[in-house]
Amino acid sequence: MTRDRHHQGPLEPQEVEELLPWYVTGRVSREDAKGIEAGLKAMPDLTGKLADVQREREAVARAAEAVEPAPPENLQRLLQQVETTRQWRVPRTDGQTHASGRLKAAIGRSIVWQAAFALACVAIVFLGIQVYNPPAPGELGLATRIGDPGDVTLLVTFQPDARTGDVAALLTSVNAAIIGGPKPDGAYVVQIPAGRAGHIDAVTASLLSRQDLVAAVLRQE
Amino acid sequence: MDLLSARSADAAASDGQLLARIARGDKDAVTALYRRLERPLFAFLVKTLRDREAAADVLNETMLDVWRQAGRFEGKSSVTTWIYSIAHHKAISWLRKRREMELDEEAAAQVADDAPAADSVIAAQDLAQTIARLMERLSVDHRVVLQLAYFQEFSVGQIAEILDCPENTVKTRMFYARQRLRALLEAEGIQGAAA
Repeated sequence: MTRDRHHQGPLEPQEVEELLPWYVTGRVSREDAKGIEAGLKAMPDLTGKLADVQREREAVARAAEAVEPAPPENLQRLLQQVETTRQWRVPRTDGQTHASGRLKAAIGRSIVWQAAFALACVAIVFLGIQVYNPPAPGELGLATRIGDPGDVTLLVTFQPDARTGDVAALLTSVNAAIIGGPKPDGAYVVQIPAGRAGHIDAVTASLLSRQDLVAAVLRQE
Repeated sequence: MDLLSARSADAAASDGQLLARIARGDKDAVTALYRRLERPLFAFLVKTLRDREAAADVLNETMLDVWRQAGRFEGKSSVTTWIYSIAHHKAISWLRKRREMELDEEAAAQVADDAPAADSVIAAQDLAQTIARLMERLSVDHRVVLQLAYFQEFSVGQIAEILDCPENTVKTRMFYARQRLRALLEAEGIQGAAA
């Protein structure tokens, strides 16, 4: 733990006291440790507080060490559950799908093929621009840059067996993108551009209608 | 590789290496990581939930999530911090299901109190037992922060990651946890033993 870079003066007594629980376990930065030691020398009453913290720590550690281990059958039960539980794969929406890996393998390292592939991509983008008639900003949200102020985020939990391509297609269909996660509960942070923010209920409903892919949707405050 | 060699290789592997093997579907790595974390993680869950059976269930649910999500681990935090974060989340969910969050303080106050008489002389080793007993009467937030700092020896930053809260919140919780502990000790007639 390191203090604010703008706050490099001596530690206040309250700061020293706050850090004592981490000082006794050696989990403060070298800089903070020096500040605490200087504080302990300058303020003798803090020495008594350090002794209190050490007593608390000893009591907590002793009590935790006295906890009997988990029942031995717990590991067997876990391994049985593992046998019947599929691992989750990372849904990606940044174009790095498994399909792209296969395409890369198919193109190979040949300069000619790579150049041809690059030309084809340029041609597709050019044709796309020609045929695409962009809506007014905010009309459909398609022209709204992801990351605008006013964007709304949702916490979306996907089904464990959801396929990457299906998830990507679903998110594209509602003009959403994964911008973070997974959280400890497995949820991803999904961003809805500002242009679609007014339709958040409709977007949520669209996501929830795909129960084969989406387990839960929560509006992030 | 024989069984003994495989086990010593597992013991030498870092948490990150074990997690990478789990992501590839290696079930032996699940066993190795479970054995490595079982004691401290189970103790943390028992002290958080105050229920051994529930702690065993949550331990398994946590490790099952590690199995499911190993491929999604991005290395933004340490493996241990990530696993404790999952365990804490599941423990809080379990408590919420039991509606213990709202009743926690009330329930804590009703924990059977086999305290010695207030005017009895408490020796140093008894003081440690008294502090440990009184900790059971703290709220779940306070128990968790004390466990993570004092027993698991996580830094403020790591605890903030586990609890998904700012570092200042961790320090504030620790401050109030210690203040509450001091009040409980004073209620037992023990002055100046904590905080």
